[in-house]
Amino acid sequence: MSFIRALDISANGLYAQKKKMEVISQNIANADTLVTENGEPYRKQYTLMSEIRDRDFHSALDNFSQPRNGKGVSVQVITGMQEPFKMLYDPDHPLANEEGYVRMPNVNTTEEMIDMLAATRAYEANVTVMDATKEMFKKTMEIMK
Amino acid sequence: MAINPVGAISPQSIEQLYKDYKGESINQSNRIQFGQVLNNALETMNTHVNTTQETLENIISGKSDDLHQYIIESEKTSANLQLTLQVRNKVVDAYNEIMRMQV
Amino acid sequence: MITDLNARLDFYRKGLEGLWTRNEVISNNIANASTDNFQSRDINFEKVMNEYMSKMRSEDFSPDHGRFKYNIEYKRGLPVNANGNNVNVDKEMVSLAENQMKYDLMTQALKYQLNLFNTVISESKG
Repeated sequence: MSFIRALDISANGLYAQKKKMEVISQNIANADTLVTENGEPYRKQYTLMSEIRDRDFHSALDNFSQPRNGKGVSVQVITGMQEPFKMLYDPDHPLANEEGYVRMPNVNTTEEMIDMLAATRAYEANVTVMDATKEMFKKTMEIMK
Repeated sequence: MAINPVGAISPQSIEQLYKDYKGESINQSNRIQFGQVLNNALETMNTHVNTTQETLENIISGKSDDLHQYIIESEKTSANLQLTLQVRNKVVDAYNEIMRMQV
Repeated sequence: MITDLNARLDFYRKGLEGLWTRNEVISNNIANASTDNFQSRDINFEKVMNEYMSKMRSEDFSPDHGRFKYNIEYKRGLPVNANGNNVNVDKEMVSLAENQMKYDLMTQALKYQLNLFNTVISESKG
């Protein structure tokens, strides 16, 4: 428990959700991008979130006897390099292959919209937590009034 | 009832006054010590404070959620504190007065 | 009354600390609301508090003014969604508000207790 670090957890929660929103916007904007710099269609980006836990020695030992609280979340943006593209049958298209299929980005716009709602809600929730923490801090100071 | 002449005040004359007024003699059971008055007030106070504390503990530990009870009890304790302080002041005053009396 | 005040202040300290820690745990739950395989947590505040309160009532009790060691427990019975995450954001919001209110209550009660003490000291007659 520490006063100064108390808001850090919410802060990196906000950052993670913000990153997720960026990724979603990027995906939606490029839902129809057929050619990128590497010659391939746009590949959907993901966020990989993981909880931040203490890294030092005695807290690693501690974890066996008693789980400790985490310190928030860390976020990584990754692109799924192995994912197949969507195939669209359009033989007249300039980029069609021998069988007449055009490779499309593997972005499902509806899915992205739903993710966006979830990310917004999560962002707002983190803001509420931050407010609660600040409020509690204020109340603590008021004891001395 | 005989009216005694005004003279020096002695324990006997006070006893006689009490007997005349109350109709019974001063004995062990109705004798109130000075300290007793203050003691009684303090004990009541202590009980109040303990009850208030217990109520709070029950709320915090989840055993009860009667917030109003706590608020009312803490107000009662405050009032009780003021009362106790006044009692203490009066007792000390009374003591001082008696000490000042010429015997 | 002096020794009682000492024990009382210890109670307040431990209570406030516990509620603050709970706030941290809830913050972490919400920050990880989208993290894969994350399980929602809570601390066993009420249980530890109850044990301490029974100790307080015993004859040879002396306040240690130290910190409690809470156990962080995983919340049970929450449905898990597709990525293994079981955080229910709405429930966490409710816990957050409740915790805040309890914290507020404790700070007010502490102020009140200190106030009582100060009144006794300052109401001295010469």
